[in-house]
Amino acid sequence: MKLSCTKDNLALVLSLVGGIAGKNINLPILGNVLIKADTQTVEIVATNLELAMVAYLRAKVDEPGQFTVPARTLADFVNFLSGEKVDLELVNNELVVTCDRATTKIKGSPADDFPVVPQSKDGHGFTVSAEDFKNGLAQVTPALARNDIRPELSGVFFSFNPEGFKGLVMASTDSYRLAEKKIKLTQGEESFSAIVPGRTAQEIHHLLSAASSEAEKNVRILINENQLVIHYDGAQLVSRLVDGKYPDYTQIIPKDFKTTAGMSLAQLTKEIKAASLFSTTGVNAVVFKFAGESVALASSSTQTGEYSSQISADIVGEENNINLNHRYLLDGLNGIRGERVYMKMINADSPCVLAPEKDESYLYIVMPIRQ
Amino acid sequence: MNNLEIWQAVLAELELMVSKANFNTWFKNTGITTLQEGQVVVCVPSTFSQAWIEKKYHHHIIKSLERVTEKPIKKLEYKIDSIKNIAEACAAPAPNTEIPPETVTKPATTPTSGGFTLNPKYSFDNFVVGRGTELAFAAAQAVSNRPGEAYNPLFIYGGVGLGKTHLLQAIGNEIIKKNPHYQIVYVSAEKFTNDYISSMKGGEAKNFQDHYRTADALLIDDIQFIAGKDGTQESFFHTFNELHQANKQVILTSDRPPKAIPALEDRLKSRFEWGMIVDVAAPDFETRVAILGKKTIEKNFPLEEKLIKLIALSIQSNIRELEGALNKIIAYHDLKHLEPNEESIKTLLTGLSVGSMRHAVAPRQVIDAVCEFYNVNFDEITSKNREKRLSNPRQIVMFMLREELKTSFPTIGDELGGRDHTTAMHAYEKIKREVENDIKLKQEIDLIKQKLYINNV
Repeated sequence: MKLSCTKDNLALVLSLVGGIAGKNINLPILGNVLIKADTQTVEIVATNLELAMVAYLRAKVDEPGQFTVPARTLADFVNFLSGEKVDLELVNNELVVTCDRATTKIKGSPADDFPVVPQSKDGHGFTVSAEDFKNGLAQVTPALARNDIRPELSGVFFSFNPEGFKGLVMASTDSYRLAEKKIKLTQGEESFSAIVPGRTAQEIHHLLSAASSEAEKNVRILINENQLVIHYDGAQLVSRLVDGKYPDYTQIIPKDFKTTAGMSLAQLTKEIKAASLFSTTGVNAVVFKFAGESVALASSSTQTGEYSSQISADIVGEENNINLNHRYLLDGLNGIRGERVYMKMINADSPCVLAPEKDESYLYIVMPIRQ
Repeated sequence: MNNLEIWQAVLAELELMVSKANFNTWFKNTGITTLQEGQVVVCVPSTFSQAWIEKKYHHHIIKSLERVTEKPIKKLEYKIDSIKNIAEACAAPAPNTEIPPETVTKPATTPTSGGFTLNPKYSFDNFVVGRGTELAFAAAQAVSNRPGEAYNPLFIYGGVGLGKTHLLQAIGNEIIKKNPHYQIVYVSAEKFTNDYISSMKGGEAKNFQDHYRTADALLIDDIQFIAGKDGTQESFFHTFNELHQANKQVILTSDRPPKAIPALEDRLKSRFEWGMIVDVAAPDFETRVAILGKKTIEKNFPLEEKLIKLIALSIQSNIRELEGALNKIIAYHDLKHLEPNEESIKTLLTGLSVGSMRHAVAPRQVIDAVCEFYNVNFDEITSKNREKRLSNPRQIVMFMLREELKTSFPTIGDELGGRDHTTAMHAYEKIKREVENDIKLKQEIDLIKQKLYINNV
């Protein structure tokens, strides 16, 4: 195997796949990336047996072949190179990297032991705008459950063309808060739903964020009962799906509200951050009182002290109050774009909804902390 | 043969072919979904394992399947499915699979009680009897020969890792072997407590009673844990009485004798002492050698007598530790493809705890070990020179002589070139203080200790 490419291309591709390669006690080769040079193209592959990323490296191939080297070592090393052009050559089970005047030999293992990336066969195909998809994922992933107690909650629920909506609905919840984002599909009419592992959702986001400005505008999705394949800008991501049935979360979304308050997003975020300094660690409670023309925030902790402040707001409906976890609130507010945000609620024991102005596509729900 | 057994046979062949890591990664949670007229569907947990097995092992699987079923395999397909679904399908035997009579016999595992099983690995045959365990072993055998008659209850106590559980389970296994119809209940005291609690909660006291009071032999491990739990104690008291009345065998183990269990009701204490109390003591050197010899044969890893003695000398307190050390040695040499020798074993043992290796060391050896570590010589350290380079190691010697050998202060002074006993006292106090705050110093001293004890084996 012998090939040459630019340092920037190589570094970019390695950063795409590098996050997936990792330690595995049973199969140490999973810490490696596979460099697969065909006569025309070069593929860089990493997998953790749950998901795999195949990225195409633009390179000139002098001699086809394949080899695997530790992902971290190669990526860290490439970042230190100062030259423009990098030559990679396989000599006696070592990858010789030449750049400028530096020559390095990296030890690796033969490609035969590297897992095969399952080839996508049939499934439902959809296309979606890369920008929408990226932003949508960023909005729903914070609400993912961080543990595996209920595996289905550790993934993002993807529902293509569900009843009553044409497009892709993504939802995630850890049972304390819930985020839902609806985006348009540019292609694809079939209905299908599946749970995509949280890790995969993050890697997709990573892949879409790393793309340059002249990259493709659309992402192609191929999905069936067992796996999800994402094609974007020459890269391919294959992932297993989470087994299980996603809870019917739509029934907990409140429909009618007793109190609705509209206020400045920036101001609310700032006040919540200030209040968070004085809330009891672990409980993270901030008390909201909706009355008259303002929302009053208060928090107190036996260790740090007390905080109270007010934000002017347009309040429609009854006076009301509720205790909410500031961390969950900030995660939700982070996903909201625009000037104003609406907090909608029924009473102190029912979920509170955060919604942007004039935008029905994003919804964030926080369960209250009961006194 | 049913699908499950066929697949097990195939796996057994594959296991020999591939490395253990590969086997565990790729063949975990696989199984046969259907097998009909030469067409096989194998279920795999994910697309990744499907792709890999298809690429690497397809032909091997077909060949093994043909060998096992003695029929040609025309088609082998893979399907992604959860192994659980198959297990359920197998539980209800499929109509088209013949079940030969021998597969319908008694299951391989001995009767269970709520998930707690006697491990068939524990038997009297593989129990190595030493001086400390002779009595316990004899009593255990007597009980298993005549359950309920010989000694009832039998109470076995002793420290951790000395073989209490082994004996207890061996009795259970032996009773089952002799009387297959016997209902044996083997639980830990903790499980007994939990069962009692959940029976109270769920209002199923009847089930609890049925389960425990109808047993032909009740084996409870680590009974000391019911101490302080009054409700459980009372329930155990009644269970015990009922079983004892009916001449059913009760066997208990604990980490201390009944008298020494705090917060245990007197009526229970006296009942525990009713039958026979035996202790299992730490194995002596010869027993340890015998145990290691047996283990090396079991694990098919022949070791020279000399090396076995080396290990037996280094690890003194407990059999579990002994086995752990042996496992480590086996793993190390297997992985590196090395022949075990004295050097490599000593290095490995250095990594294990040295807490157990307190044996006679002469003051001179301590001095030498410290000298070697700090690269000074004996004459220098015993000289009057008070350079920092020498004074610090000298103080460490004094500290170690006091701490490890319990040498008197005047003797310490004499050993180090006729110094005053107050010098030794000062050095001891000083290093003792520093060790508490200075991790590096502590590590140094630990290293010296390890060297000291290992080299003197």
